[in-house]
Amino acid sequence: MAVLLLAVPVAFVGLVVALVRRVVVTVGVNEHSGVVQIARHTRRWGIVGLLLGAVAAALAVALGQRVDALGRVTALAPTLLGAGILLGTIAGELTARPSVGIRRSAAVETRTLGAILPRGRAVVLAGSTALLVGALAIGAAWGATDDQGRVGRVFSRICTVVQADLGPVTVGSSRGPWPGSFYVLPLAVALVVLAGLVAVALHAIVNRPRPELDGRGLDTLLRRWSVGNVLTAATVTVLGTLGPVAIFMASALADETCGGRAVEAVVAWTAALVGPFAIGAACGLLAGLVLTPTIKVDDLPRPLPGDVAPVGAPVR
Amino acid sequence: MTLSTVTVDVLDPTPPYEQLRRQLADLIGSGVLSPGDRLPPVRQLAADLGLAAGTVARTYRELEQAGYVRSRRGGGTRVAATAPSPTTPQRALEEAAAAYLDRARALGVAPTDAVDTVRRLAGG
Repeated sequence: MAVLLLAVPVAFVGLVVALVRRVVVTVGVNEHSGVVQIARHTRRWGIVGLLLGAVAAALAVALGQRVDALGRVTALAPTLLGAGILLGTIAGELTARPSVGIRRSAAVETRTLGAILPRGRAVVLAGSTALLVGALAIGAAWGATDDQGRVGRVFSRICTVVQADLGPVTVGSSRGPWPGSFYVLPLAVALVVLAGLVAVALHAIVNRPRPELDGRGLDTLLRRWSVGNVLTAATVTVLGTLGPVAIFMASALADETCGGRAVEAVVAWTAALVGPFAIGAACGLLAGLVLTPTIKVDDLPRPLPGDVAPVGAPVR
Repeated sequence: MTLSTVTVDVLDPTPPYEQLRRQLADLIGSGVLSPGDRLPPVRQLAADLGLAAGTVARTYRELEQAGYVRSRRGGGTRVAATAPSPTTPQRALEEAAAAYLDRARALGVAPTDAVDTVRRLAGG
């Protein structure tokens, strides 16, 4: 539990960074009304999705033990949170319909995901996913059957210890819960479903109709934000899953009854470092999702050149 | 980079697929869209213009039959390497004038009155 305390400062830093770097684009009251309307619509759905995901995750944590006392349902909490956010994004993008008039214009352009993909976030997601896949692969490979016959639920070691009075004695130890196949299989299925939701959300964002040609730049920015939110939601899920997996791994490998192999020591230390960091980063990124970029409409129309300014010199 | 656009007027008596076909043919014929340039996917252009996907699909089909574009499954629709003879500004103007007269006729305006309107707007 003490190791989890390390996650708190990382989450705090994430929150501060999200607050400091929060992007707010201000537009005039009569500017780009179509894009502003879509931004509000998708943001509303995003918040609904976030709330639904948070409720589902909280239920999985609070009631998951009743459904499965061994924690397989509880382990799905980060995925449920991410799925809620992604479903909200998908619903918002698919139902966003710009108002069309009698004369309708469109750009002759091919919208691609590559043009609006925030590379940094994509790299962070890819790196996190690689770490999680690696952890789950090691967990599945090193998992052993527990005393109840459940495959891949504990980490076992058997060694021979030379004792002064008894001579060589075979000693065995099993520690769990270990993220072996018992936990990896449901997690893998959930993550594959989540990857499908990410693909659907990205497709929906790229193919959402453009509202108006003069707001093209702002609309592209809005799409980039939406893609960023999708990648962040997926990263929160991956890191939120990786954190507990790494911590349980480090805890099980810390058994000193039998001296572990060098590779086990490396995995144990890496997991001990990665676990709290992953949880903290997930919390920080979640804060970033709540403080998502937004378009603010300036209520007062901008002064026209020559208007008398209430204070100071007139605007030229 | 110049942004090429197409516009559809739903009150125009010319069907939307024909309005689109004419504008895209002009863009290709005048060299604004170069050989190999990719046209927007049917669903994307239809959604942007608030039209049915079948309308845009018909436009693309007619452009393909006329040799302006080539469609390949999975590769989208691209401007053909050898497009038909380029549209001259004179020909494009004549097509636009014909569309204007069609609309005037649909509104019950005589061609002479329609020409007078143009003359008045042009300040002549």
